[in-house]
Amino acid sequence: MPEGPTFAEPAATALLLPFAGSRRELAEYETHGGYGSLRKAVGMSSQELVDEMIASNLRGRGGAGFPAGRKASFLAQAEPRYLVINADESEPGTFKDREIILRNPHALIEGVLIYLWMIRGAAAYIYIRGEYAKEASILEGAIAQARERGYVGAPLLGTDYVPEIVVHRGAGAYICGEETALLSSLNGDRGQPTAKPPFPAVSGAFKRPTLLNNVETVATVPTIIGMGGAAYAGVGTEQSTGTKLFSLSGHVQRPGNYEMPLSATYRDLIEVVGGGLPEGRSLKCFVPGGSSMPVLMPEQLDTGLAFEAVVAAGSMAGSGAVIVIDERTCMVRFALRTAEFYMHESCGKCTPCREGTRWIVELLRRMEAGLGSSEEIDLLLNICDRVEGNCLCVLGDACAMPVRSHIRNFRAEFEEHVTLGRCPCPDDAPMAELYPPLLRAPLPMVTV
Amino acid sequence: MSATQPATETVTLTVDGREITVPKGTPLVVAAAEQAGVEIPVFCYEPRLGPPIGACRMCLVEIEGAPKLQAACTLSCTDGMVVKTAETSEQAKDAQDGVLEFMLLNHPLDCPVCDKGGECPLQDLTFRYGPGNTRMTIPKRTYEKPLPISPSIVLDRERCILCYRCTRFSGDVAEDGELVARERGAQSVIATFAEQPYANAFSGNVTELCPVGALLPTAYRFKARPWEIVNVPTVCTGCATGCNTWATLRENKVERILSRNHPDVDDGWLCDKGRFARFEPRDERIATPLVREQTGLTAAAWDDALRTVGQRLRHHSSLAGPGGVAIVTGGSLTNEEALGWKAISDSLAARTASAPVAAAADWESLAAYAASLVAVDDADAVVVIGDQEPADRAGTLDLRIRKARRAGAHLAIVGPGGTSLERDAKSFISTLPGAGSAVLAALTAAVVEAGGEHVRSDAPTAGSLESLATAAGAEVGQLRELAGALTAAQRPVLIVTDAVDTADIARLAWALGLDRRAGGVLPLPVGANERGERAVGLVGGWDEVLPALEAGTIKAIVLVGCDPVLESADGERWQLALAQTEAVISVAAFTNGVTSQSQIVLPLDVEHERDGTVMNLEGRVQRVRPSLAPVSGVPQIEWTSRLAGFIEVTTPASPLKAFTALAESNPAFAGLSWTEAGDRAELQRERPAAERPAAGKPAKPAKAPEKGAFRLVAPRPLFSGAAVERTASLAHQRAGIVVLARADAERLGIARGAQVVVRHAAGEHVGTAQLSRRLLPGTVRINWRGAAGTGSTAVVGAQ
Repeated sequence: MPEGPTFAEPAATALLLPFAGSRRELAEYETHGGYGSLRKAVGMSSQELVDEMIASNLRGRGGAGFPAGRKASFLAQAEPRYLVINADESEPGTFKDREIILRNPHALIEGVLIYLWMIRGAAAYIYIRGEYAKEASILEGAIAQARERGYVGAPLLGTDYVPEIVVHRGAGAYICGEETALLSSLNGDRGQPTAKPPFPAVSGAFKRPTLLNNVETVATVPTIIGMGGAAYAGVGTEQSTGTKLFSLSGHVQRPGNYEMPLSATYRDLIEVVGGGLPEGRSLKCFVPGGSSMPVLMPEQLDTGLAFEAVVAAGSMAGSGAVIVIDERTCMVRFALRTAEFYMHESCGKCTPCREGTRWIVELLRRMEAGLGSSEEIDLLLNICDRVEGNCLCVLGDACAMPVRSHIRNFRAEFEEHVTLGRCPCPDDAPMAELYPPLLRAPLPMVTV
Repeated sequence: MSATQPATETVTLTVDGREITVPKGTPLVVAAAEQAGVEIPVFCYEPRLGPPIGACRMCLVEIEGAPKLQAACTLSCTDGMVVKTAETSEQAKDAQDGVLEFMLLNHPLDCPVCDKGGECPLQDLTFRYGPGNTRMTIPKRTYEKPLPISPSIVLDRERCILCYRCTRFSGDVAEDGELVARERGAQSVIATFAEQPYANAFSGNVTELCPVGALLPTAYRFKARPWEIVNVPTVCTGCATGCNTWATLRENKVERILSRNHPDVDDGWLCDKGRFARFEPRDERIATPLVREQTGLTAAAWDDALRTVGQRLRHHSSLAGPGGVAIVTGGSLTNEEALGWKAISDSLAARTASAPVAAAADWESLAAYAASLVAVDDADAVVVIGDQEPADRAGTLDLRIRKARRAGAHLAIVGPGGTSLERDAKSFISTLPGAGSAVLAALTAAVVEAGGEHVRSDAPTAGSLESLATAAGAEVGQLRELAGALTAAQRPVLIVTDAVDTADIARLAWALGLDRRAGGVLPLPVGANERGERAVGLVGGWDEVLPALEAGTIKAIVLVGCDPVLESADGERWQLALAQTEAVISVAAFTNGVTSQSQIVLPLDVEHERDGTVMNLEGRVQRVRPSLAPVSGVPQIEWTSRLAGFIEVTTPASPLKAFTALAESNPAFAGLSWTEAGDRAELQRERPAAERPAAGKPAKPAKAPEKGAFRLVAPRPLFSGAAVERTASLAHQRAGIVVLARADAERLGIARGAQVVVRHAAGEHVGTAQLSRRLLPGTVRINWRGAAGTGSTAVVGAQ
């Protein structure tokens, strides 16, 4: 096993999640020092808190990696202001926020309260994906405990500020993880992205200034306030500080959520923590940060987990969903399955995404059925080019990027489909282990 | 707002190498087209629908410094911006080709059989910008089609490019939320909410907003091709708003009405009455003079009929003396036609009447406070007082009021409730029905009490605020609050929807100092050209004629284009009075309650048959142009002139001559030009100095009805009249409605949607129950086809 740069004992770097077990009960959480950061935060001014966040150099964990402290500083001053937590975790392969809610919900609640205090928010809305029914009820239970304890719905720790937290369940649309679509949905409108400006920091929830953050980002805040921004910045790399949760899945021995310092590498994650691929298999490629990201190849295993390292390798760290793909996998089928997801989830608002995702899927279906042609592979690449960057939000990009990456890296496999007139892979090529089958049926047509 | 804002800041930017300077905040698509002469194609952008949404992506451009292409529609011009459109940017050109290709992927390309073909933005842009071929190897999406979304509109989902213009109109302009997008992604479709018909009064506008052939007026399907039609610019005379229109003429038939966007009048919108109502079928029209014989009304020769009319009028005039003859109109004439009748009535010393209520039509008394329609856009407070919805009198004004509210104006509704504008109004003040006059008096007192910069404390008040409020049935506290808002507003607009004495309005306007502020009073006439007829000289009201008719002092009456039996609250009295009048002569388009009592009936020219001008509710004089010959073959202005000859007066026989005469001799028309009236006419407006109005007592609302009975609120709805009643596709707009207060409905055991019958003086109204939270208990609101009188008694029961 090659030496990882700074990755030491996992237990030592568990800042966000308990290394083992759960702390779902408030008492248990408090035994481990829970809500101590909140007490500390209440003694600090808004500016001091923002400064602390900036010192930590925490980058948003939702996928874009935007510095959280700077984001907080952009919030318009007009009252009332809202905090919205994005718990609409829907990117295939991503299940880290669920882990936080399941095992450490009070870290999220404490983070929400610190954030609320920092912006003196009128209320916080936790927008949780509809499919997370169990998680929503756990969260509701934890909030009820915090309410009972006087952290929520009552003057906060001797101040005259009363924080309020509302859990709002989504209705099952991936696009509502996009911030403007999430806010549209929260506002009671159709869950579709809107053009920016206006930015949520000026006009978001209920058309008021709104700070919107990912679950993991917010749940990390108690740690930052607890240990101090500068100390937190000491973990990880200079540009990507701290630890981050990685959802490891696919053809790997020990799939699961792992908290890794951002100074570790994909090899640390996949081979050391994840136990590598099952006996006798070899790595074909891996998805570094959620199904929308271009894949990395085996020779790129030593790429760092840090945001900047993944970008340098030609992909993006995204949400931290790492999908391991072994040599038996049909890349056409994998591209198709990925594209099908995005076609299914396209909101239909802007033209390139609505029409482009369907065209991409239809062409991949033809290819997988052996009906395509070499020209159609180029056509597919051209469609991806014309979708990417031209849409209202990044969903279209999310469909185009992996498809193009698969063609670029495995063009021969696509050509083989076309030349043979069939899929060269065995029928039991392991798709089911990558994503559960969802869209096997032909395109549903609406006839009313 | 423009008047109060400082000089506009400008920015300088470069579009395709051309440097342009535009006001800061100008949308890039507009700036590029207007200043740089570069067209940026776009489908979803339409500023009248609210903020841009950047959905179609047709307008992608390269902006220096931006990492990817940007939608020009959502960008405002900023200083130093360097823009490269598809003209000069390879990247933008490729994206544009791509977007157009995506749009056409599933579009059926059935232009040869599509009604939009030839006037279709998608077709035009495809020819101008498209790649010209397809690379698609997959089947197109198909849907069931055409899908009627209402009796007036059909939807073709295959042609739809999902630009969301229609749903934005429904959601953000008309604010009905009836038209929605359903499903998502490639399966997204336009649909109506809960499969209900799209019944909004302004629904037809989506057929014009649609940039493809997806939403089409049912009546126009497969009717015409663009090269065989003529679009005649004219003005709608469905109400007094005066919306500018195109009449699409094909083979001597008006097949379609389109908006001819006059931003100051209609904002490019039309109501469905103006768009779809037709005086058809033409073969049911009164096409020749009819003279009553023993067998009934019989066709007569023009000269015989006109000579008889002339003889009778002269006979009764000379016998009964001044006032022995009455010429009654109702706003359906052009100014030029009215001039002929004015000359005839002068020569006969006849009474005239152009408005249902004389005192409510004294528009000149409000001239010092007059507001234009566009003043509503800029208003910071809009107050609607009365039983009627503004839309009942002035269709598209409703959309303008909503627009003002969205822009932040304080919208206050004062009335008995149960109207659609209440829902989002900032304040609602409940009053008795028919209490408009009392409300104005009470508000005047409240304004004087509130005082303030603009307020004149010498305004005549009719009593204490408390007693006036009681008479109006309004809460003193609410009136005080509204008075406070009105006195504080910089640009308030007052809209009085009912036929109240204009002196009541003038007293409030004087107290508020509306003559010294932007905004003002926007009166709503009943007849489309009521203001014009009055300005020409046909003054007076039906309410003044009726008692004289009943007393028998009027021996001969000519009813020109009006039917007081149906259209006045005193219908029954009119019927009886007409029956006992010696000579009844009517001019009508179709047989009605008045023609059946007439000895002589002459054919009325209607819209699209007349040349001339009309004056809208603001006082704007606009030209109506004919598309068709009058059904009788003889234009009314011509035969009126011939009739005048038999009475030995001379009147101009051509519209232009009549207009010239008006412009030369009538101050209301002085300085107007025939040409300018024909194209986006300006409002010639000089506010005279205000004079302190005389004191006066407000009219009292009707007495409380007997126990168990209801107060009736039955203003004449927008969807009423001879043309509407004959237009099959508008039948759903006339469907009976009965609005009840929740408490009353509960007491009577009437559920929402139940069929309810309302018996009132003018007849029996059957309608679907709607429950209102705000309608005054003990009151029932119906959309009766005529004017059933407000505040009168009605009995409500489940059918």
